Formats: sequence, structure tokens, C-alpha cells
Amino acid sequence: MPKLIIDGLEVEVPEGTNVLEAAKKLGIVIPHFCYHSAMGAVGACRLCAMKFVEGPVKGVQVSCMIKAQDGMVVETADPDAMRARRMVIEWLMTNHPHDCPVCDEGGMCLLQDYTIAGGHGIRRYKGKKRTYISQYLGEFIEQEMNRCIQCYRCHRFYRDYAGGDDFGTKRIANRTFFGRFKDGWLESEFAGNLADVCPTGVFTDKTYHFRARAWELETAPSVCPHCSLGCNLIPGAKLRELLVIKARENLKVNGWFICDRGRFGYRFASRPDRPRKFTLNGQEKSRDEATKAAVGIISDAVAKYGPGSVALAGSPRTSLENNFALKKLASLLNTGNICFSIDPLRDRKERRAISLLDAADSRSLQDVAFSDFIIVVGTDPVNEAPMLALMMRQASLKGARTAVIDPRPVKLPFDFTHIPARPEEFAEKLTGLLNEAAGDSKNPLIICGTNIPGIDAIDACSEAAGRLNCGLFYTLSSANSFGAAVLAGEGPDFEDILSGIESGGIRVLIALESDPLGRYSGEERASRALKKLDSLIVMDYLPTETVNAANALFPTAAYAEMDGIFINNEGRAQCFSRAYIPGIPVNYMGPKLKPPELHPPREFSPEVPGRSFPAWEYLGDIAREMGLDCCEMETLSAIRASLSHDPRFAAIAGLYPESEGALITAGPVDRLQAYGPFPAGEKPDAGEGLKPVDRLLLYATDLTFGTEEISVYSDKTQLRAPEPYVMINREDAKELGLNDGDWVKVASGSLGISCALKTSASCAKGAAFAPRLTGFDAAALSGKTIRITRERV
Amino acid sequence: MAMLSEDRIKELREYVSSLEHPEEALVDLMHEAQETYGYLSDEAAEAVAEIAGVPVIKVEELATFYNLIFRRPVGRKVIFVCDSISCWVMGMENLFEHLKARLGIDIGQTTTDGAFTLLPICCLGACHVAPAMLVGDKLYGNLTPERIDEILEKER
Amino acid sequence: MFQPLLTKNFHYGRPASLKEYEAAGGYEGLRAALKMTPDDVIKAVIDSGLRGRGGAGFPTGRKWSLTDRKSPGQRYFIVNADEMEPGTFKDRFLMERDPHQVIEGLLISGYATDAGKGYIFIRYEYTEAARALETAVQEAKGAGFIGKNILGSGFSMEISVHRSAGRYECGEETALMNALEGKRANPRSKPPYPASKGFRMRPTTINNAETVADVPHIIKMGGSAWKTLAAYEGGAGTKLYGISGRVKNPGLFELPTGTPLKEIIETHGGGMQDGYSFKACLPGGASTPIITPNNLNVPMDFDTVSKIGSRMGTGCVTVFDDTCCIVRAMINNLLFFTRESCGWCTPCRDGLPFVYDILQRIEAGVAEMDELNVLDENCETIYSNSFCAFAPGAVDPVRSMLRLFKDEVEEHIKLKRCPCLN
Repeated sequence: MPKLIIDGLEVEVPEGTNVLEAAKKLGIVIPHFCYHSAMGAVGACRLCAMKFVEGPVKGVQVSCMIKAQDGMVVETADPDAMRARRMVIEWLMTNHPHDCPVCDEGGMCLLQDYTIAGGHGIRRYKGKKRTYISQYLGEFIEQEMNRCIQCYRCHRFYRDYAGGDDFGTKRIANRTFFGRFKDGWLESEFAGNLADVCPTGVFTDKTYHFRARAWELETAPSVCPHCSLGCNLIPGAKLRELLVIKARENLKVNGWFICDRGRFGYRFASRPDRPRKFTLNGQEKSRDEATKAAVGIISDAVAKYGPGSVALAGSPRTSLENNFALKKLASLLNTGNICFSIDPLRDRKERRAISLLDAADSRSLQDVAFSDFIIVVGTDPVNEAPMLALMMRQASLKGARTAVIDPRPVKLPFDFTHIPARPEEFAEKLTGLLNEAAGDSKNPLIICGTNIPGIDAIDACSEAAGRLNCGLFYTLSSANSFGAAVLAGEGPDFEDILSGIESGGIRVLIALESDPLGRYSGEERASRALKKLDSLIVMDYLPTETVNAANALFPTAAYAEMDGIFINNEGRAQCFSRAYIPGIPVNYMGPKLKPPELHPPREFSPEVPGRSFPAWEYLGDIAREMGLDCCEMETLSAIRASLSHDPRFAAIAGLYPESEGALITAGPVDRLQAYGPFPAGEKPDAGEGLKPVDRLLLYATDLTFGTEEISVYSDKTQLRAPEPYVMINREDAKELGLNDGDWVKVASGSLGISCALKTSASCAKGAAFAPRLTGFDAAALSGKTIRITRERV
Repeated sequence: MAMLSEDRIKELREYVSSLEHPEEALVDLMHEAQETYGYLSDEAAEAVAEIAGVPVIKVEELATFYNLIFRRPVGRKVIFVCDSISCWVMGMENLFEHLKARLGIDIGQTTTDGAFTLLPICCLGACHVAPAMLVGDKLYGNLTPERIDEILEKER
Repeated sequence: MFQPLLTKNFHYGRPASLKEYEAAGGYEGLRAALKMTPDDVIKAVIDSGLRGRGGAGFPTGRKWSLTDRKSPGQRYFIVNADEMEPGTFKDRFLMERDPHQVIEGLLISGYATDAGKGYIFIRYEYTEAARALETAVQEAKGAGFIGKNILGSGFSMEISVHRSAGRYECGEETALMNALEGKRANPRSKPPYPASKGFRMRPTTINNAETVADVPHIIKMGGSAWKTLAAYEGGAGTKLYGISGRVKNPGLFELPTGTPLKEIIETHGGGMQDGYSFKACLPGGASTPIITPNNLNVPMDFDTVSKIGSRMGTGCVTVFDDTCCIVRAMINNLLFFTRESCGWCTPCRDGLPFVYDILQRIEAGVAEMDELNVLDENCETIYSNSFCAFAPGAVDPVRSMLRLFKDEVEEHIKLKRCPCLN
């Protein structure tokens, strides 16, 4: 660990740290543009000059390019160094358009900050400015090249860090341009990070274009709700409208970046059709009235049919506290009919997966980047957990080999070996791979999905990890799948609840941020069953089908609008904080709803119009109203205190926002005994003696855009959702006499869907895939043997 | 417009696939495509990318870096006039004016008959016969207005 | 009597054929070298005192000895024939008139540095030179000088000629390696140095075409003997000197290293053309600081020219006559450098246009006197804070102008016009 002196202060830093970072450690921040912690030093902008007085290097040098060494004495305020920095800023500003008043970056712009910090104030360049014509880069990212200072961060992020191949550096000298070959959408799933890495306003978030100034935003440290990885973010809202998401640094999870689903999927929060009112059978009610109505419903059912007639469905997408409050209510009501997912298959697999993770083999998302041999079993990282693909690329850049055992034609932003295999072959292929390859690696890692793989594959991954001292990393469905699964424990799943409803035993269902009518795989069954209920009580912030069917509706706060905890796929509990108070955005109360002269609204009231609250508050209200002992549900801190009495959740006691999170170990969650290794509906038809093409098995799959439950309510991310399709192996298609692009009917029994056919050479034979797109009930056919017939060419 | 023939594309593809690093063939491929297409049109750039098996942005990055790859149409011959120091000493500025007047175009433009495009170029390494210029790949030195007129006549 | 080495086959006025080259003692250097150990070849080059002819003057033998010859795997030797320094026309002659000399030099250099693959990186405009080289490579292959087990020595080497597509920055050795790899020719940061991680991240040695062409003669004569060919004690061997501008006999001359600048201009260049007088010169390309008449006795060699505040550079002299406005000359220079900047680092990309703009304002008579301070501050900061040697080279002549021609520059500002234009 070298020790050096910077501005008279001694600092010790790890070997390999550059002097710029060493100074940062002392709180001395020297302006810099091209250097970025994630992308390293390239010495292009020449801004971070310091004077090296003693030691192996002498004179004015750019500090990012010099590794800290013992005996160095460095002056940051040396006049020569300061002159160098001032001149660099002056040069960078010669062509800058000074359009800060109309620039979205204004107020959060490094160029603004460093122009001041660099000491450049008076313009001396009298020549003309160079100008560019910017490109259209799609609906996520806005480009204004005239603001560019050529720090090359965009290129280095997009091409080198993220592995995108449709963006680069064009032209030369002071005409250097960063863009695409031709206008068009940036293709990388990580393109949105350009808005964060660009130190000025060349690349900005188009969805936020001209909506707010940086200083008007209400922000808070938060955690992404759009997949199970738990990337850290900063939501920004203005006047009750969520407007922008920025990545937040967490060196145990996402590092510095997030994916485009996480960045642009936020627009569900301000949809005009978002539930904002408490209603009873469609009639608007006050919060009190709604609570009383719900209490009436529940009490009636309990009185008539006993406590078991009330069922509760929590959710992997809502906070740990909300789910815990639901569980508390269930136990106060003395009903055992509670589950935390409406996808029973996934639920069982996730409960199994988390019970297999322990501190020894569990790996963080960051750890993935330091693995040297990665085996992926039945997960498609870009589509199921996008940031995982980015971390795997970092491992690949360091020389890691990657093999993917998956029936889909998986795409990753780096070279890897794809082994097309059907799920029942996963365990066998995994063993084969481990035997031949894992021996010489120091940090091997097994990544396993929970959608396509069966329990046997999930078990095999854990077993292999334990045997070979490998890291283990399961991808789960949602932001709080882990937490939901721990709470679910050995309790029932939604299959049991549905049967209860169908048999008439269950008369009331409380759906907490879960959408059985829209998301249960087999909508018809759910819809038939739910019609049998006496009452449906729904708490949600999304305008779901279940919300529309609710007898009593409680509009809830979304993640950015409340404090809470998500537990990510690794078992890492992370706090998120309320960025703003939810209510109808002021923007929607002006000219859109009322005569323009009333904008902005002139009605003053201490009430927030359309205000919603975290679901745990409503659940507490109900318990209190029923006269139950609700002290453990009264406040968030009471809920957390109660949670942390469970030794598995003890770690959350010390949790605070902006921490790296706390690891939870689930312990045994042995729900499976009741089902055997292949739960009902999962074991494929044996089909002995049949050719693969004669027993095509369909899997409903997830995509980066268009299938994830929350972001499908965001208009911008939906722009990247594809049209429905089913995909099969090219040779299978040939045998069936089908061609790529044919319009086909996909059927199993009485169920059927129509869509376009896609074929791929790298798809496993005998497997078919259809994405879980909105309005396209691929899920209903999931796990079933299907027939594909042509409807038209 | 002339296109690379199917046979030639096949040959090139085979050549590239024999290389350990296909990207290293890009400059050669761009030169060849440019000779065939006249300039590196979008289609030509895409053809090069396809042959080399690289994303087209990599072709674009190089094509727009180098000054001898043209991403816009040029005349049948490009006149490169050296505008570096030795030719400047020998009166290059006047010759530029003469050429512009004779061709009726400004620097960067192409004559209406499509014969010539006029571009500046850095030192051609012909300083002993400065001022100098290239017409196509032919070097002319010791230029005077009269000699330029003769050359234009000959090269047109 | 001085015997030319590099230029002895130039009299054909076309590429010397393999037969002609061998008749004049060609490939004897290679034969001799292959009988020596690589270490002995390097030692001979160290003894010769040969310094890089591309302009920087790094001792060639030392450069070779730094090459990582231990690690297993491929090594490369690259000839930098991307001659693009304004005012320079020496490598063109070497390749157009005697291509085998460059190839023989490359083979010996490759043998010394254990490089199995050689590249000659040549600018696209040098069509004739490229053709000559390609023909010569075929000839040499046919004669067994290139390929597997050369002359039964066990040493194998392949040679390719790479025709580039323009841009001065390609001549910077790390940028050249990027260009050869099919990447944009931005310079790389050092370390790692090419000697350990160069082309394709393998040990690579790069030398200028003239440097490489000197090698066969050094081997044939012996390093120490070659060294004594110089014109003065501290020099080594012979050097190609060029002269252009308004002199009576512009051209390229092979002379003992360290021949005084005055002799090059007056004796070999024939002195100034009638009606013109000598004002100043750039001793070795557009990136070398100006030399004024009172320093013309300087021996043309790296250290001697550095001592008087300039650089020998490529050794191709551009003479400014009395009609040349120094400010306009520098504008011309900066036009070149701003256009050719690769765009990687700020001082070069955005600083040079600033310098260019001030120079133009001075020339146009609209600059204020205090802009000279801005100019000076620009030049000094660009000089000391750039990524590679390109931008320092671009502003070095301007810095020398501010030292040596301050009066002329100030006159522009005082008169509000160019004093050289009547």
C-alpha cells in the first residue's frame, strides 16, 4: 500500500490506485472528464494536472495516468498545474455553445462545475465555433453534439464497457463525432447510461427532456423495482410526477450503471390511468370509508365461513414491509391462506433456490465481474436480469470464459459458448461442462435461472457449487422475490389458494400489489375462480386487470414514493427511501383536466390530491379497525423491529439508505416435499420414442422490454417491446414445413394463440419460446406440449 | 454504379476468414471498395463490414478518420494539392487560386462534368519539386499556372 | 572521398532490381548478420551510434535491446514509411530507388529482435514506392531472402507492405500500431511500451525506413567503422539531408552526419535563388523550431541542433526566403497540424485551433498586443501537457517564432497588417 503526500496531507491507498483517486480519498477533487472509476484512465482530456514535486515522477503531470507510489509529494495548487487545468477548460469551452439555459444537463453538469473549478472565467478565444448536426438516436437518448468536449466516455462506455456495436467515434481532430453509422435507435440495453457518463449535455435522457431543472427535482436513494438484481438508483420527481431515473453507485451490486428498463421503465408512476382513488364497487370513497368497507367484508366472511375464508396474496414486487404487514394481518385473522406470488411454479422454484443459497457460495452482482469461469444454466441475462450481462462482460474482458446452457438463442455482449439444451438436459450438461473445464479456474461461478430450469437443475447447480467450491447466483423474477419467498416459507402457494376459491372455501381475497387476473399463467382459470369470490380487495399502484375487478380498491404508493426494503436475488436487503409524496401530478391538474386559465391550480388545500400511501398503512388500518393487536404494523420502524426478531432478518436492523445492504440467509424453505422433484405441470411429457419436433414444449420467456410486470406500464419502454412471436429451431421448422415469418397458430388442447414464427439455428430442438407480452397469453401455454400450424405465409 | 462482383466478394471473404484479425483487412477492403464504387458509399461501407464480419460502425470509424477514404461522391480523379510548408514557400497559394478558377470550383467541390474533385493534402514528399500535386495517383511537381493547364488538359 | 551508401543505387532513376542491388553488394549484410548472433547484431548497431532517422533520434541499438525477446510467441518489426512530416522527402527516395535496401535492413532488424513478421507501413500516396516494395518483396522471396529458414540460418521472417489511407498521426509509433490493427490511429498510452506490448499486444520494434536502410551497411562495415563516417567527432554514419524552398538546387543528399547546415544549403543546395535571400529555415520538418542565419554553422545532428534550441528532426530543411512572412508560415504549419490532429487529447484537438486563430488574427492585423501573451500561454501549455509528441511538435516552431521573430510579429500588430505584404 503506497503512501504519498498530497497538498501536505499523507494518504495511503491500495496498490494500483492513481493519484487522482488518492487525492479524492483526501477530499481533494481535481476536475477531470475522461477518467471514470468504471472505465479507468486514458489521459485524453489532460485536465487533472498536478505538480509532482518529489518521487519517481517529476513536473506537471495528468494525475489519472500516474499510479500512486511511495515517496511521492504532489501539489494540486501549484501555479503551473493550475494554469494547465485552466487552459484545458478554456480549450474545451472554445466550441461549447453555452446553451446551459436550455440544456437538460444544466445544474447537474460536470462541465459547468469544472469550468468554475478549473478557473476559466473570461473567454479569450475569438474564433468561430465548430458546429455539428446531431443524430436521432431513438426515444431514450437525445443527442446535442455541439456541447461535446470529446472526453470519449460515451465511446468507452458503450463499446468497451457495455459491448455495444452500433455506436462509435467518427471523424477526426476537432470535428470528432460520437454517434451511429446512421440515425436510429441505440441498440444496446445499456444505452441510457450515456446520459449519466456524459459529463455535459451531449447525451441526455429524452424522456426527461425539458421537464425540470436539476435543482427542482425531489430525489432519494432508491432501489430498482424492475428485476431481481436490486440495482441502486436515484429517482427524481417534480410536482408529484416521477420524471427521471439516474444510476446510483453501489460497489456490491450494480457498480455505476443500470439498464434501460431500470432507467426508462419509471413512467408507470405517472400514468393518467393510475389508480388514485379509494373505491368501493366503483364508487369513490374516503380512505376511512374504504377501510371500514374492507373491514366489513372481512368480518362478514370470517363470521360466516370462518377465518380460512379469507385469503391474502402478497407480491414479489412490493416491499418486504408491505408483505410482512400482510402476513401479520393473516396471522391476526388466523388464516393460513397466504401466498406471496401468483406464479406457483416460479414461486416453488424461487423458494427452493433461495433456500439453497448460503453465505459461502452466494455471490454479489459485483463478484460476477471477478469470476474467471461462468456457467449459465437456463437464464438469459440480457432479458431476465440485464445488468448481469454487463457484469459478465466485465469478467469476460478480464479473460473469463463463459458457457451458456440454455435452449434459447441467448445473446450476450461478448464471446461465449452456447450449448442449446432442453431444461431436462441441464443437469447432465452442467456436469459435463464442470468435468471438462472448471478444474483450472480460481473463481468459477454458476448462474442459474428460475424460469426455464426445473427444480432438478436448480438443485444440480447448488450441488455442483458446493462440491466444486463454485460461486452460485440465481436470477429470480422480481425485486423482492427473495424477501417474498422467505416470508412464504412453507406456506401455500397460489395454486392452493385458487383451489380454495374454486372449492368455495375461500370467499375473500386481498391482493396486495399482485395481479392474478393479468399475470397468472392461465388467465381464464383465474378469471373464472375470482368471479366466485364474494369480494376482492385490491391494493395497487398499477392499473391492472385485478384493480379493475376490485370490490374495494386502495391506491398504494410505488417504490419511489415510500420507504421500504427489497431483498435482491443474492439475499441482499437494501433500503429505498421516499423521493416524493405521491398524488396526482400538478401537471395533470392544469390545462389537461380544467380550463387553461386555472393553470396552475389556484385551489389551496393541505391535502395532496389523489394521495396514496404505502400498503402497510392500509393493512394496519384494517387490523386496527377490526380491533386486532396491530402494534407491530403501526409504523415502518415497528414493522422492521418485528421483522428483525426473526433471526433470518436480523441483519435489517442495521440497515440504512445508501449502505451496501445487508445479507439475508433464507435457511431451509422446504415447501417442495409436497410436490416431489417435478411439481405438477413442470415435468415434460416423456414422449418416449417421439422426435423432438413432435413434442415441442413451449416456454414463456421474459424480454428486456415488454414482459416485466411494472415496466409494461411505461409507454417509453413499451416502444421497444416486440410484436408477439413464437420461436423454434430452424430445422424443426423445416420438418414442420414452416418458415421464418409465417403467421402460425400455437395450440395445446383448447388453448391457442396466433403470432409470427421466428426460427433460429441456435435454438434447442424440441423447444419453443414465446415472450410474456401484454395481451399475448404465452404464459397459459407455458410448460405444455404444443402444436404449431401455419395460418398464413 | 459498379458493384463488387459476387466472385470477388467470395474471394475477399475467404481471404478475410484466413486472417487471425479480420479488422486488419479493413483499410485494404475500403480501398478496394472505393475503387469499385468510386467512393465509399453507405452500401460500400456496409459491404466492407459484411465481408470483414465487423459491425459497420467500425468501418465508419476508420473511413471518416482517414482522408483518403471518401464517404461522399468525388470526381473521376481527385486533385490533391499539397498545401504544406515547402509548397507554400514555393507559391502554392497562387496555384490553388489558379486551379479553382480553371475548374470553376472551390476546395472540396467536384467539377460539373464530374472529372475532378479538388482537395488539399498534406506534404506529398515531393518538396524538391515544389509546388506539387497529385492527380489520381500521378504526381506532378514544379507546377506553374501554364503547366497546370497542360496537366488538366491531359488528365481530363 | 566520401562514398555514398544509402544512395549508391539511386542513379538508375528507378527501383534497383534484385540483380542490380546484389551486384552492388546487396544482401551481403543479411548474409553476414545471419552468421552472427542476434546479440552481436544489436551490439554492432549500438557501436555504430545509429539514432532513429524518423526525427526523435532515439539510439537504435538501445531500442532493439529493450525489445522483449524472451517471452514465447510472435514478435514484430515494423518499418515506419508513413513519411508525412511536411518538408520531408527522404524515405520516398529510398523506397522508390532502392527498395531492397529497406527490405534487407528489415530482415536484419527482424533477425536481431527475433521478429518473425515484418511490416512496411507506407502512406497511400506513395504509389510508386509501394509498387517498388511489393515487387522487391516478391523478388526477395523468390531468392530465399524472405520466408522460412532464410539462407539456411534457421531464421524465418515474412514481410508485408501495408498501404495506409492518410493522416499524419499514423506516423506516431503507437498510433501506427493501432492503424495496422484496423483501429483508429490514436496514440496509445505508455507504458506498456511497444517493446513489450506493441502490435497485437506483442513485443514490437518500430524504426523509420532510413534507419532500417542504414543497418545492412553497419553490418557490412562494422559498427565502429560506420560510425566514423560522420562529419564530426560526436556524429555517426551518413544521413540523408533534403533541402527545399527557394534554393538553386533543391534535392536530397547523402552526407556525413553532422555536415553543417550552411554547407547543406549553400554547397549542396546551391545557395539561394537569384533575387532571394535567406531568412530562416526549418531544419527537419514542420515540427522543428526555426533556425536563423546566425546559427547556420550548426552541424546537422540531433544533439548539436538541440543545443541551439531546435531539433534536427528528419534532416530535410525547408528554407524561408526574404519574401516569406514568418507569421504566415506558421499559419500554414498550424493549418496542417489542426487538420491532422487525431482528436484524442484536448490540447491538440482544441488548443491548436486556438493557436491557429490567434496567428490568423495577427496576420489579418486585428490582434491586440496582449493576445501575444495568450498565444504564448497556449503554446507553452500545449507543449507541456499533451498526450503524444504531435502537439508539442506543432507549437514548437511557433514558440521559436515568438523567441526569434518577436519584432516581426509585433509589427503585424502595430501596423494592423502584414508587413510582408506591400
